[in-house]
Amino acid sequence: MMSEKEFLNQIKDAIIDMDMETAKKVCEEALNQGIPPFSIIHDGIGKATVIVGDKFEEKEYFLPELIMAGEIITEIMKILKPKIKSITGKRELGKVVIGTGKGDLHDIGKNIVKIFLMAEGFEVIDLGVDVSTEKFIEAVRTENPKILAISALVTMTMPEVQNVMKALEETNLRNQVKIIIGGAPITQEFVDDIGADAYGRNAIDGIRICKRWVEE
Amino acid sequence: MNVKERIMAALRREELDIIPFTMLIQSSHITGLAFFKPWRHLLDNGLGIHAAGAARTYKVICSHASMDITHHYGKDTSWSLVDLYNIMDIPHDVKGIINTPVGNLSMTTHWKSLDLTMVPWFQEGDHVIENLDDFEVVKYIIEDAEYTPNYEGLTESQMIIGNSGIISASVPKSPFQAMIMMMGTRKLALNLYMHRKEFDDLYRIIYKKELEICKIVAESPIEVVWGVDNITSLVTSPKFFEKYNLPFYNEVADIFHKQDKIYVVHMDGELKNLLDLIARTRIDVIESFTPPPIGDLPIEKAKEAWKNKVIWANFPESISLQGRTAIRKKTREMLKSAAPGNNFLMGIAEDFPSFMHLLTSVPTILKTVMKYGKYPIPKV
Repeated sequence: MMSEKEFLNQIKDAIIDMDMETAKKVCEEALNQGIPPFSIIHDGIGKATVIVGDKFEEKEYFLPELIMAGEIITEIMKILKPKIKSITGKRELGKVVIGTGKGDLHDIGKNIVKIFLMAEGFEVIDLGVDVSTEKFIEAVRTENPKILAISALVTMTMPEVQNVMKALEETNLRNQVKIIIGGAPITQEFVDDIGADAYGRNAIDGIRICKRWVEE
Repeated sequence: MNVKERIMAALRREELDIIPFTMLIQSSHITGLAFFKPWRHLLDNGLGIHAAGAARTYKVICSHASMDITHHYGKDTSWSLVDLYNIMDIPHDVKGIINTPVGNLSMTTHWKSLDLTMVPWFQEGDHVIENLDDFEVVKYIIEDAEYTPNYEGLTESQMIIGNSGIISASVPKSPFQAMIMMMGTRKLALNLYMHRKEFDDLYRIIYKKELEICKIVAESPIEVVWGVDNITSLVTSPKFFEKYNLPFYNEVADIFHKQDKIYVVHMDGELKNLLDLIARTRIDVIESFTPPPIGDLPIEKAKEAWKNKVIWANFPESISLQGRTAIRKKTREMLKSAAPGNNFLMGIAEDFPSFMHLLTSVPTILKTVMKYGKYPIPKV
């Protein structure tokens, strides 16, 4: 019989190798052997996300691999979810509100960030795509997140992101939330100009910035 | 040199007087240019037109399939025809169905404005390929499709543009890029890692059919062939580019070159990680090459690596939000990076945030190119 460490390593390796079937099978076997779901999340999924992120930064992995790793993590989380209620000691890194700006229907980048943030221990409120300024403001007011993450893949959405920043100032909500902006046309200059807190160069960079903020 | 001669000289890698500056324009918009004074002014002052898709060099018919597209407005309706006419132009959902004997394919998208000149941008909603059964339907349609030459009307299209630019003959996206469009990035990843056999089978069928199309396009009277591949290494990573894109590009490049055509491919994303692989293609022109801050590859490095290719650079659209000074600075920076300016064109090949941005950005870029883009541009 495999040890806990071997089970967790196999789950980690299956995610890194993009092997959905093995990842699901080993996860179910691990649960049957009594391995705590939190160990699977922390030492299986958590370690895999760090390695996948590193490989993405090193240009060994690209978007298809990030998406695939995210899909495997989502499937594993579905297996773990019924067992998670009784778990104590789960990391709670805080709440993130996420969405794509008005006019933008592309959600691949946002979804990757969401899955990886959840795997890291964040609670993610996903507002979806084509989110209006009013909806972002309402979510910040009612959810009181630590972080607001906005994605814009099309240039036409950039002025809308600026409108969200203005509305946060006008409603006196700006200082209660850190704001990170990401997406292909976004630049550091744009983020500086509109007064957001950080520019996520890519999904992995964005996740690492969010982690840094809550660990400060 | 007139603008058309200037563009063609750059594409043929011949000497020119000033670096061409062009706008990529949908075919049906061309006729409006002559009536719209600000555009007329820009054209008179040297702006070039690249009318991609203006020349339809082939016809396609699927004898055993049919297509229905419906527009859905929900409660936005009225008894008045005048109201209805106006309502048609508001954002609404569009659904398409392709019917075949082996099954149907459906597509949906949200249409922001009813512009009858534009094809619905279906990949923003549901995709043609949503599950494995759809592979079979797509294969059926591809094999059912019959392509025939359609060289009529090409001269008229060029006559409309006159010496203000060129028309190019479009070819479909290369097989891998077409598959990204059909299934979206998420399903692409899932299919590549979970259903590789089905993926590769479909790829081969598209590849074979596209060779037929390229042969028809190669024999057309249009000198410039344009493939709108939207390459970015984020999705088409080096390993997939090498396996799927490179062999196709080289096979069709040879078909085009036999007929003295110039093979242009639209690559508007991050290309740094594909630098050496693109160098190994026999593509003539890398069009919509977008330098930082949108792309990740500086013009100097691309020119150094792609000595036998022409770079048709795309002005990064996000700079247009930063005002005229930033636009002027970026334009000069791009020109200096391309010094002395051989094998180089500048253009705008993407959407701008608004029409007004376009009207402020384009004249600024044009004036700067006309002032600092005289060939040869001095090396700093």
